[in-house]
Amino acid sequence: MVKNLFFIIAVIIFVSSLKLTIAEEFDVRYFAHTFGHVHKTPFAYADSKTTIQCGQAIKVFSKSPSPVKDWSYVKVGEELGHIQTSYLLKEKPNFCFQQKYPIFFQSLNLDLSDLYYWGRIYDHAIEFTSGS
Amino acid sequence: MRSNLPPVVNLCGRIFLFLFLLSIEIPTALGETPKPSPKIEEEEKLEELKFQELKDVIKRDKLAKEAKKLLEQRQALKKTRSKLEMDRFFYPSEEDFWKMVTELWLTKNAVKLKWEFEKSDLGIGMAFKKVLEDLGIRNLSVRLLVLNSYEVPHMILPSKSEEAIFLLSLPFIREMDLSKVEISLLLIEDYWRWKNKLFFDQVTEKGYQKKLGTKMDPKKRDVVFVGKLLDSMSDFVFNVGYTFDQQYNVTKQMKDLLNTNKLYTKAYEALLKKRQEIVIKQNKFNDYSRRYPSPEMQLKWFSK
Repeated sequence: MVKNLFFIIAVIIFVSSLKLTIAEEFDVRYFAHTFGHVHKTPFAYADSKTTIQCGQAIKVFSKSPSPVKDWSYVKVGEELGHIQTSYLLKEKPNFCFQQKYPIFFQSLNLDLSDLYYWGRIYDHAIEFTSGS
Repeated sequence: MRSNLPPVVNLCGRIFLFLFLLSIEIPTALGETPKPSPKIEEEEKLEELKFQELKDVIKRDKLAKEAKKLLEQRQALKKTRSKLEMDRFFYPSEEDFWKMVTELWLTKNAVKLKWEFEKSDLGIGMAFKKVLEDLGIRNLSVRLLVLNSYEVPHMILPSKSEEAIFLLSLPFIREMDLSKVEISLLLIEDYWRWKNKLFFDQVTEKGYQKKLGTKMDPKKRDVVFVGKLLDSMSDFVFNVGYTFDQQYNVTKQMKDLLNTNKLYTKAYEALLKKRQEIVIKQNKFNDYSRRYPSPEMQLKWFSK
């Protein structure tokens, strides 16, 4: 009985230390599209945890609890989630519409559902460039 | 009170006091300038420095050049900053405008178009890319949204200069039972419509043209034209479509493009036949021939 208890405690300590390690190392990246989403799971159609916008700084962790190719484990504000790696840039994007034309963009009076759908466009689109 | 000292001592004391007072120097009171404190060594060295020589040293060390460079950089930064500040109050340029408007239109019509749905990888992207490349259409950035509705069978919308946004109805291609090559050719028809800038001919609201690239009045912030443009886009996409002449030109362009490729020529003919049949047989596609006139004539134009 006591042995089992020790074993459970050891497992708990191990798991929590693992979580700490995951959360420790990160890089800063910047979101490339006009709007986007932090997803609950590394899947384009997964639920959104929060909406992000062009040029927003994002913490990208070196390790993910559920690693999937081409997806990054990130933290935005208090939310932890997943973003497609190709949507993240090492440096601030050269062009963000809402930053270049803030007064015009603000005047469009977008509501929350607009921001949600706008961010979803990139998740649902098939994208490629025909070869040069 | 009288002094008890002998008169001689008293006299000596007074003389001594007088002489003492004389020995004290009160220069300011006497109107003399106070003498400066002696120069320290460093001051003497500084006085010896010739400033012309100093200038020469700076020149020799290229510090003057460096200073000039920094000054130029500062001025350039100032210019950039003031341009950015000015841009804040500008309407977008035409190049920046269309991608934003198309995305806004897709956002506002998301529920009607039903592009937000979970779908498996249909392999359309890969097939379309191959057909584009086989036909020599290169450096085209494609964004393709698959729709889960009949509202828009297929359509192309403007974006940046080398980027096109395609819409494609999944129920439509399933109903027509199109192969991936046929789907790709259907989208290449739309590519010609984009290349010929037909969208701009068909969207009747032109109020945006006067605004783009101009300075906005911060007090008025007139963006009414955007709403009108979105309505006009909806009217074109959902109701109006293309004209007979435009369809003729696109079919001819398809013929020229596919001329040397027998495989794709056959596939396009098959597509035209399927389209003609489905429009005749199924009532729900009656609307199609109004927006894309006329499948029957297209087949004739292509065969000629």
